[in-house]
Amino acid sequence: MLMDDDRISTGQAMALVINAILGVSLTILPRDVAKTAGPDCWILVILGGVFAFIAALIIAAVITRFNGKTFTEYTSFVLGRPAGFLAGALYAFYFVLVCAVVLRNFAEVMKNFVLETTPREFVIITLLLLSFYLIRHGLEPMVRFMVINFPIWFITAIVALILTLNKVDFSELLPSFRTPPDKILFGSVSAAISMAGFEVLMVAGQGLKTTRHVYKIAAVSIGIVTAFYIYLVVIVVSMLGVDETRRLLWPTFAVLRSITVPGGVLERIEAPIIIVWVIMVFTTLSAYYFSATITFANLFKAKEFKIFAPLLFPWIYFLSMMPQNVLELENWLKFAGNLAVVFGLIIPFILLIAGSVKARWGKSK
Amino acid sequence: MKLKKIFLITVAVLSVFYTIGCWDMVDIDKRFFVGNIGVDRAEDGEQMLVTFTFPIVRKIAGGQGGGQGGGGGSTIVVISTVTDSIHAAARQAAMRLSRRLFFEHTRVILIGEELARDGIEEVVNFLERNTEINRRGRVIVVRGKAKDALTIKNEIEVLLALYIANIFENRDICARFIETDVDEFMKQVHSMNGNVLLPRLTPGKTDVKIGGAAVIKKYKLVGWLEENETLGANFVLGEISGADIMIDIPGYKYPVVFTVTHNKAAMELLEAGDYPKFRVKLEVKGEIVETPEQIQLAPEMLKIIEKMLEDRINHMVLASIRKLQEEYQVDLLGFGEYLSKYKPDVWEEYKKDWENIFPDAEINVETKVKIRGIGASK
Repeated sequence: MLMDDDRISTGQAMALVINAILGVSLTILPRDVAKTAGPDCWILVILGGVFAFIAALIIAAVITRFNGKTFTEYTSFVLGRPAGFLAGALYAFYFVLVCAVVLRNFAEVMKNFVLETTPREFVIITLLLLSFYLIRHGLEPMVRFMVINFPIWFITAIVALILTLNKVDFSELLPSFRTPPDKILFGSVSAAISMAGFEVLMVAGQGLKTTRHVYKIAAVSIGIVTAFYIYLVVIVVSMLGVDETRRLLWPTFAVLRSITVPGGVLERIEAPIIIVWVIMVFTTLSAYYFSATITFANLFKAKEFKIFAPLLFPWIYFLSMMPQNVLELENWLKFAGNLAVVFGLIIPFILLIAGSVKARWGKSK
Repeated sequence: MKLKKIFLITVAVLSVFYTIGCWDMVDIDKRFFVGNIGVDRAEDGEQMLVTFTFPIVRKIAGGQGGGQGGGGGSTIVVISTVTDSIHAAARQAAMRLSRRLFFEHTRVILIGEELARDGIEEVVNFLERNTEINRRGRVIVVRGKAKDALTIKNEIEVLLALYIANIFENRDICARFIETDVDEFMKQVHSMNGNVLLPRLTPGKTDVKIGGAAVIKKYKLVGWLEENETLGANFVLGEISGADIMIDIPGYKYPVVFTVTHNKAAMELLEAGDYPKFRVKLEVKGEIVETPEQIQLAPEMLKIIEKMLEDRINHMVLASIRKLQEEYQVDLLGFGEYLSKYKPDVWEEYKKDWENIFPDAEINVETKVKIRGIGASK
């Protein structure tokens, strides 16, 4: 259970959602969309943003009905105790799985680009420990960190944009509008998946100072993320070309590795940018780790949510070490993505319908 | 409280390890910074002869301080080994070296002619898969052996890799070679199915010359473009920011020298029958830097010179297009790319058989030259 003063404002909630979304997926998204739609990849991102926004609106609608209840209390109230408990448990497991996948992907990138001989286990455990340290003190301190991170990320993104401008060739995005619509639709769903993260607000929703502005949170955070993703995909694809983007495991990093600061002052700029990316991954991890912890705490009606953090720690670690290699990790990522549709769209939708039916039924009685 | 303290200390200690990356720590004095990689076909005709060069930092620093430099012999170490792959070569060389080879600062990757004729897939794959290679390094095909280019006794620069890599900076005054880096090379080789133009390097005794282009077709070197032809190709690629063109004026001993400062190229599809018909429109701006002493430039005179330049450039560009069409039968100037981007419907029809269609495509060149400056005298 959260302490009474551990509440976040609307702006803080926006930072939470944006930080939860942006992380691992921004290294993979360009390849994903280039694979399905080639030069039309930016359309996928826009449509994906629309889908993600719809999902976020549904979640927001659910949150406004909480009335001071926690997420698990609300699901039990709406769906009945056993179903509500099951839903809560599934959410907790989903959050744990996302943590694991995020961590492992982070470790793979580190292994390839930065720390080549450092064991993955070590990279994972240290980041997880740090995250553990951050979330133990509750929602508000964690979100404060995310708020601080926001301008850092923003400035880095702008600087990187300026530095890439002399190398981009926007004709790589031609010809436009030639991908069959079924592919566009299918691809934009997978683009929407990379904007998953709003579901975190469902469990963190109990910590909101007011639920009046949830729709605003949804609009602003998904809007910012979509804009950032469009810019990212356009830059990466127009710098590497469609075919090369498809081939590379982490096209975003290939782009970072090839930008130079004019004048030859700094030869390789990728190191500071990778550091910012590490922070982004860290915030994603913390958001999900916190969500998993708080969901378990609510399930068992624990007074102290902290004790669940160390309990989840080994599970996250073992899950993250399960995939044998990058290609297997890809399958895990896909699986987690499919789950995101279930937990970010389908279940909230059921909750919304069930909730409104229940409310009307309750009134007529 | 005690537990909390222990926990905090653990986190703090662990994060210190993490920030310095102690597993990966190789001190800077335990590394050799490989500047050049040269890849040749070995004498047995199957394996590769891989050559690395790296500077001895101690000697360079000593030389600058005026201490024991100068007579201390070469500052560059050249080490070659015969094996099947570039990565294995670095490991094999490790048996003969006291420090680690380190590729983050590799500036130049040289491919020997013989190996290039057999195929460069191995090099391409290495460059892409390896995460240590600098994606801004230069990829060059050597006329002859790559090792010969790496064993020259050059005195201009202390570092051989810098010497070779910095030649590329002169492209903005002399566009007679192709400029590309690992990034650009990867992009082209993959989007054009292994067809790409690479710069050509000719080794001498004490220096090297980068001029002309290597024509790579389906990952194999099929021939060269000479310097003038490369200049023509660069006009179509629209990448010239400096190149001299000389035209003879009847009755005078010395030519008029025109230097290109701006160049724009635009393609246009005129007809899409059995074979496509293209028009390449070139817009060239530049200035006159030398004339025969007796000539007085006047506006009418400039018009005539512009006309002559246009003919000259048309001729030159057509010659290089013809060579690619007839001799090598490979589309390296982006005609297919143009179709796929701007005329996707037409491209659908040609796509499959483009290799055979391109050599018969009809290509016209239309150049518009504008003389923008004539120097300080009339």
